[in-house]
Amino acid sequence: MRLAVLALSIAVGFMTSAAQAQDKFPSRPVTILLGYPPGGSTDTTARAIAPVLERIIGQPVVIQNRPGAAALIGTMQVANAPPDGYTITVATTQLALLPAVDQVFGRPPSFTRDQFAPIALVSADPSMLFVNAKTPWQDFKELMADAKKRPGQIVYASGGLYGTTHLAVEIVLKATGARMRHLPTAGGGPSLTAVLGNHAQVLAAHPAVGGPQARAGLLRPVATLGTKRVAAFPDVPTLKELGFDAQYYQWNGLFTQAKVPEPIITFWREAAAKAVKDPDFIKAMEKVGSGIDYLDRDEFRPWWDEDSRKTEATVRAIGKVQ
Amino acid sequence: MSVLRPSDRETQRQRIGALALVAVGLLFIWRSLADLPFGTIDNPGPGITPLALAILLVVFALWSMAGSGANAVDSAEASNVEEEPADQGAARHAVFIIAGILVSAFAFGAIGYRLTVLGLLLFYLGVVERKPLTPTLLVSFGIAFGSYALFVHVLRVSLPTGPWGL
Amino acid sequence: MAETLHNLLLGFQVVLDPSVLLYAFLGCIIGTIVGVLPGLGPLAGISILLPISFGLPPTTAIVLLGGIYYGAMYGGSTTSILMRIPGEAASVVTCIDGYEMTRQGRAGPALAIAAIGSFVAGTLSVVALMLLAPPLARFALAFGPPEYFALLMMGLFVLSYMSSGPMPKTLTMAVLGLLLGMIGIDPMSGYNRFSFGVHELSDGLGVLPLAVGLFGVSEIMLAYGTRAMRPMKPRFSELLPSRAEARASIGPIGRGTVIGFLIGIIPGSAHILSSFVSYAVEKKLSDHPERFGKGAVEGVAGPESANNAAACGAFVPMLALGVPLGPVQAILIAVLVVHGIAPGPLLIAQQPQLFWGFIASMYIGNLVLLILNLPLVGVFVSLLRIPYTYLYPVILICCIVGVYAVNHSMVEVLIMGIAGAAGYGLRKLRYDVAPIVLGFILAPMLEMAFRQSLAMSGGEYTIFLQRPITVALLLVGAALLAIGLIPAVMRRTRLKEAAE
Repeated sequence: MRLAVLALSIAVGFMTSAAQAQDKFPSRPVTILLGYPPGGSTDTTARAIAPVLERIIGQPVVIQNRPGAAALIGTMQVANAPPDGYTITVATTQLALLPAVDQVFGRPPSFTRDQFAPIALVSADPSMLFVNAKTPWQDFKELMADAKKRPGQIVYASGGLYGTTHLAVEIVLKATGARMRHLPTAGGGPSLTAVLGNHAQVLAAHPAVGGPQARAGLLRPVATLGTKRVAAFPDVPTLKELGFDAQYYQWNGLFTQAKVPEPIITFWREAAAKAVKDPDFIKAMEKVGSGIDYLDRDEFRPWWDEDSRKTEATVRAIGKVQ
Repeated sequence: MSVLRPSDRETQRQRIGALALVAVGLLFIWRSLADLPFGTIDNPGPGITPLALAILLVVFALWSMAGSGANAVDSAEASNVEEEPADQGAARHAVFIIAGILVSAFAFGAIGYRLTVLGLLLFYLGVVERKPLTPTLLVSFGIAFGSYALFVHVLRVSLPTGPWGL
Repeated sequence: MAETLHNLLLGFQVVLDPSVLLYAFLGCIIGTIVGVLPGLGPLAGISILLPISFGLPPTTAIVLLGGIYYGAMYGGSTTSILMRIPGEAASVVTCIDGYEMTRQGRAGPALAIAAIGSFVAGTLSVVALMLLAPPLARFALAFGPPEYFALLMMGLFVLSYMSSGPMPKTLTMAVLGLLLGMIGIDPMSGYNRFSFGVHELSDGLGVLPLAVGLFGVSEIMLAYGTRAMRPMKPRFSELLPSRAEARASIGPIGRGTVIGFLIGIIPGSAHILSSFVSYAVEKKLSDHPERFGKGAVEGVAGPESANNAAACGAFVPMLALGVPLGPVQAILIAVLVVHGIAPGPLLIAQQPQLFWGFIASMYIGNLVLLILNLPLVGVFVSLLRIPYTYLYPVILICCIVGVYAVNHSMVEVLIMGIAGAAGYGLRKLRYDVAPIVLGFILAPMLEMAFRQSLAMSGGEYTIFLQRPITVALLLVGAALLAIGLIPAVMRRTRLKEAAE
């Protein structure tokens, strides 16, 4: 009997809290769930925007990192979270990449891209191509000429198979028709170490990662994979200027689940639009060496579709390496 | 070691253990052959190392089994000897420990951290160890809520909460 | 030299600022708490407190997180010694002889030696870091996949020194560990090996759940029946090491420091191996190798010193070049980035107050930790007075929470449970579980370095013979293997002769 009363009171408690939740969005704390560990670019972007969003929406914004299996674990958790708008994420190419890799290995996809609804693009920094400064190649032309003379002899490092640093170089190689050897490593740090130690000679990296090494004279930037030159390296040409159609961006966007009702998505779009203009957010992004390239949902979606198509095509082109 | 019986039983236990390891080896051999390519000599694939290691495991496990009869005494002297359990309840107790871990893995998400820990402590202290009620309750509630406070408020680890906000 | 002293003075000026000093203390204390909790290690501690540090000025943030890091390294050995539960991978070795000392009523001396060894190793390493960081970092960069492979091969030979059990059983356990290390995504091909559809297994079993299960949980299961863990009544006169123990520890601490620091500066995750290598070296050098595994104080002093020296050595490439060696350094670099400091080769020149402040904070931190830890020895030892029937449920909960809190992964708790059951069975059958852990750590690194080398050379095996460091390391390894095998062969022939 007493148990029944307890169960009843709990059930009532549930219902009232559920009813409260419908009053006005958001009525309780919001979670930014990340597939990547603390310290990466998605994480630093989330940490830059969280306090600003908190102020805008008037509810606490909690960041939870659920890294593992190349961001698969956390991304699946986002995909399967209740579509009530209380779980958003900062995500990047993994949304297209991981299903494409599943496809290459003939596995059923762990999640699909259409489980996610874009809110806004926050940043998109072009990758840059660096070579070890001890190598003879002074610019991109010399590097490619040598790569064509010795196909498959020059070694490039990446932070991991099918990762952003791998795809970026593959896109360049595809555009130029050159071939190089791939040295996968256990992450961004190890790939940088491999090139600094001249165990590999070429690396695609974010300007903020390769920049300090380049300024110290250990790496040499040879090309920018964006449509315009990077402010910190005004002398480094874009591949477009060099006559190749190859672009690769390391971007971060805000997403939620596709099933979230449209009014709540609109709420988030408006919050994001305000957040990217906030001086605190601009300052925080400046510090981590990342620009702000804001696109609202309607412009972001085609941009994201295009980027995803490119990612999927590149992953398919790489295929199984064994 | 003059009594034959226990050493026979010991040899048999050693055999079963070694065969279990052989089974693990066979499982990995099977999955390597079924799932993974072996590559070439200048580009070894993902299957070759595990296959080699799994075969080695089978070989070494069989070797330990062959040797176990002869050097059961030897190994007892050489390695860190575990004292034989004095108590028949020991096996039951071991099962309780493992069961507690497995249950807690699922309970964390379902009923939250504090209730899980509380339940486990009440079970071990109250049911398994038959401790008096007052210390059982004190220790259980103290640890469950105290450790939650330490983790969540001092160390800022987020721990799961259950449906009642506990 | 004068310039170094001048810079160091600058560093101390930075650190002796009350607010910075406060965070240095705070870091050490939090690190000690995190380290002492079973299952929680330095990486967990730093990840957990990372968000707080973003709100602090950069030097203060680095000093705080640095304090947590080496505080956790100090504290990590405590549970290894008292309860046979490793707080992090590197203290697995300490479980072996440290816990045996506890069982013999020598928990106090074991803890004290661990603290003193850590202090000496930590301080000497900071001196080396201060004087030699840039040249050492350049040396570290020379370690590519082939060199790393050769180094790890030496690690494999270390396996053969790890256990004193019978050869077939030791080899079986080593191979089992190597095989378990194969579980997860293969970084060279993308294949998900032996994960049986469980996504959480893609990153492997995880060394922490495995080690806590094999050592800690199995110990709780075994100790019950034996009533080995009757409450002890340690006398306070027995808290400090005896003169003989202190004398026996000097050599291991010195050697452990050198071994640890050298292994620590090498890129990759090899620093975990430092404590294993130190243990093997001490066992090899000892006049009484049979005492190892039965409470030899050298088996605590050496690995604990090596562990802390390696922790310090790992900062060399981070500070001198801006490249992270392991996950902990990656997080510290992220902290710098968030504060707008570009970590790179120019860091020392451009941010002298940061570099020298950090160096000075490490001197102070080591001292604080020694002062903090020595009195705590008494506190920790008196924990053993609590009746075991009250203690074990709490220890078990700590293991579960510690493993769970790192990744919020229920799968890792399950892995710990299964590893516990397996460890229980194996130890009942007198298999030694330590080689499993070392094999588990080695296997993926070794395989990857090997295949990376071939990827670099396009499949040419000559790459292992063309690079001087690789050749030298392989030769040393072969010599070690020979030295390791000779006594076994000799013993066998002697046995045969005796039989005839």
